Amino acid sequence: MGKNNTIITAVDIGTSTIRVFIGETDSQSDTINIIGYSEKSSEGVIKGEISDMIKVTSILNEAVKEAEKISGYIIDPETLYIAVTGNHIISKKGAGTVIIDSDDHIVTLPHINEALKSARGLLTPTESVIINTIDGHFIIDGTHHVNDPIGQTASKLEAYSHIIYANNNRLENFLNTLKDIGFETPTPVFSGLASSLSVLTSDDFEHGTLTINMGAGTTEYILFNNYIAKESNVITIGCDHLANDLYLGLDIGLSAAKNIITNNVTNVRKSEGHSTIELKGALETRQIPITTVERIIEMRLNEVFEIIHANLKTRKLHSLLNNGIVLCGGAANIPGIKEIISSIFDTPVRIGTPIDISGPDILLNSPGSLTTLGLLRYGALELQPKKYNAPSTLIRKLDQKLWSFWKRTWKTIINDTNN
Amino acid sequence: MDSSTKPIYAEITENVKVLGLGRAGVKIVNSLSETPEASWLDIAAVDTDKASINSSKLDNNFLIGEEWTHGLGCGGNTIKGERALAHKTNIQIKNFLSNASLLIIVAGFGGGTATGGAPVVARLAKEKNIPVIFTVTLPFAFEGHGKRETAENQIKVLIRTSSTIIPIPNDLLYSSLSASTPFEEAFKKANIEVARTVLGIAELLRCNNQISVDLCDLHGLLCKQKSECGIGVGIAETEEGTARTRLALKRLLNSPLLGGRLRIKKADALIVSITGGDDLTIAEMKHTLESITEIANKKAQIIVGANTDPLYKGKTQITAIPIIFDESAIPIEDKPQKIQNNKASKAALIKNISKLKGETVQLELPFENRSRGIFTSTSPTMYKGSDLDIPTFQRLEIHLDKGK
Repeated sequence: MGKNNTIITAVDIGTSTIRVFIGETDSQSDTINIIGYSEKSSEGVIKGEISDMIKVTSILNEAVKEAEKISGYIIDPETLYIAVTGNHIISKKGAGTVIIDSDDHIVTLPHINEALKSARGLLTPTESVIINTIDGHFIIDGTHHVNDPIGQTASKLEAYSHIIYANNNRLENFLNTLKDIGFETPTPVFSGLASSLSVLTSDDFEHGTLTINMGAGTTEYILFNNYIAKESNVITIGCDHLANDLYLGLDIGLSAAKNIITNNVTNVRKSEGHSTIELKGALETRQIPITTVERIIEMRLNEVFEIIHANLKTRKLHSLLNNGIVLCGGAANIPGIKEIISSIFDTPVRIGTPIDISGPDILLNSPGSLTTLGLLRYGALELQPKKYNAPSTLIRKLDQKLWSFWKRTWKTIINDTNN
Repeated sequence: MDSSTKPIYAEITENVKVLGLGRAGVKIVNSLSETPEASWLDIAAVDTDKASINSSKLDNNFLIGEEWTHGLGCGGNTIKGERALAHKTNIQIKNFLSNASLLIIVAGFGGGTATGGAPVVARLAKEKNIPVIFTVTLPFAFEGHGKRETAENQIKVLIRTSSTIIPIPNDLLYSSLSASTPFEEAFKKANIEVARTVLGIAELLRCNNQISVDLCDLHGLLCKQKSECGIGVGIAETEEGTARTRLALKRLLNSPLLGGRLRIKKADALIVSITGGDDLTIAEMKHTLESITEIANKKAQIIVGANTDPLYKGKTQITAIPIIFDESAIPIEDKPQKIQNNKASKAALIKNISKLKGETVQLELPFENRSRGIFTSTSPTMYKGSDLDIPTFQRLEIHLDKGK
């Protein structure tokens, strides 16, 4: 480990799995090396939200210890990131305006901060807190769209931010699990945002990509276009619903239903030339037609992605997906899911693969760990100010370009809290 | 995490400022300044039109944007209006606002100066943590759809700056005046009414009220949903007879911008205030407030205020603002989703899925066995009235081959 390297820890309390990854950023390149990790099967989490604090805390405690042991480092509480999801997450587009009334009418950083501050300040819904803001574009003088207005001459500056809110109490639940085991200041990050950071390329951020992260309990999505988050949301439907549908529809045990989903049983049986799935009971063996299983799964998936498509369509965002859709989360392993999404959105779909992250193949090849990997990326971006001093550092790589927008966000946030 | 700073407003006692924006606004604040009871208010007029400003008899008259408009007004151009008010030379307006505890902006929407400039003033006030109330009149129907649209769009912008807005449609003027009322008199009367209402609002929010109303109440009512207000003011003096409150009430109900007794009856919310001199008796107050609330709908939200002021010696003024929500408009705050009968949503779902797959979905006799399985004890995932935790095939009522 070099002198300037930073240790970042990411925690994802998922519905099926609790993951703790420890990553190390390299001051020479943008790659994050995973030096410690732990994956534990989760209990006490339903639909992405914590229902049993005690169970979750004890599993998390084990996972943290295991990850620390593998990495050989003690986790730094200052660089700890936690993924947050659930149906309490909402996002809004904030708008703020400042009148540039200085003599020369030149936009300066204070103007931008003020516009962004008012973009964020107006809307906060009751009992909610802002967890992430992604600063969008600026409009000067009502007509001219710009990404970086510093130095422009204008009489009016409008700023638009994508703001992600979480319910105060439910967010505290997430943070408390970590506080209970001694980490006082974890930084919350919306799961959907984290997933997109691990898989999207610079090109994707610019030309329009929808990241869908379908885990066991929830499905999050976030749409980026021109480096701006246009929309993000959570639907509390996940792979558990698929298992539940099979469990109720086929009168089989829950574990058998989960087994069908996670172990890809339908495809295995098909490739062996069978048309049914065999379930051995104590007294008799049941033969369940594969078509029924596929139909139940297909109906559920169609419905979920149809909802997402409808949500985008009502906001007229469905045409912005020039680079298609990236699928993350455990659901990416379900056979045929790519085709279903592709037919609904009429755009290509790919399974997410982590970018600029090195580590054990078992993590990098698993779509379920993309959120946690993305948290490490978020951490690396947030900690980067030490690396790029000048705000105008351009801009060949994704991180740097994104950073040039986001730096301001964090700067203003830091200013706000200090005030 | 970002903890957004909340403005802390000063107490509303003195230094209530009234700003008339644009031609209509200037006329109204001039009517206001002629009212003796308004002597405690600081009043100013702002316009881009030189003729309008010259006609104003106030102490504070600000002509703005002179270098572009040459004192000829904005000609209905909201961008010109916005620029004129945002211009850096308007230091006088800033100074005027600087020590206000409440700002009431009076304007006629649909033109240029007021419509474009109102959000700018709102922002200026917000910077200084001054609460703002807009009393705006909306254009007559015969002025055309365009003007109305401009006015309504700008109100949407204003709501974003979290201002409290009282929109008054000018068309109400026909509803209660007799057809033979002279044209000039009708307009004059309307101006006086709006001016009186401004006074009423200022009185309503004053801190030394006996029964006080706070800004939060007003804001909460007016920012809930797209709404339309009327205003009515009734004033009567002791010399006019013993039952002065009754007389005032009668005048209130005949007030040109109120829209008649029916409008109070139809109102979803009602703000009523009574102001009198030291001689206002408890019986008078009780009688007045009771009489108005009796007219109103039982379900209406009612806010009442009562106040005494030495300036009103021998007089009583009653102000009423009936607010009617536009039910067809989308509420500004999201309503919680209601669980509805899922017949309709099911049909929609089938339609969606069959459209998607280009085939018809087989329907069976409805089967009642709906279950949520492992999600039984969790809060439902509602989408358009149906519970998504119930398997899709059950909601579609599709029969499955379970095998043997």
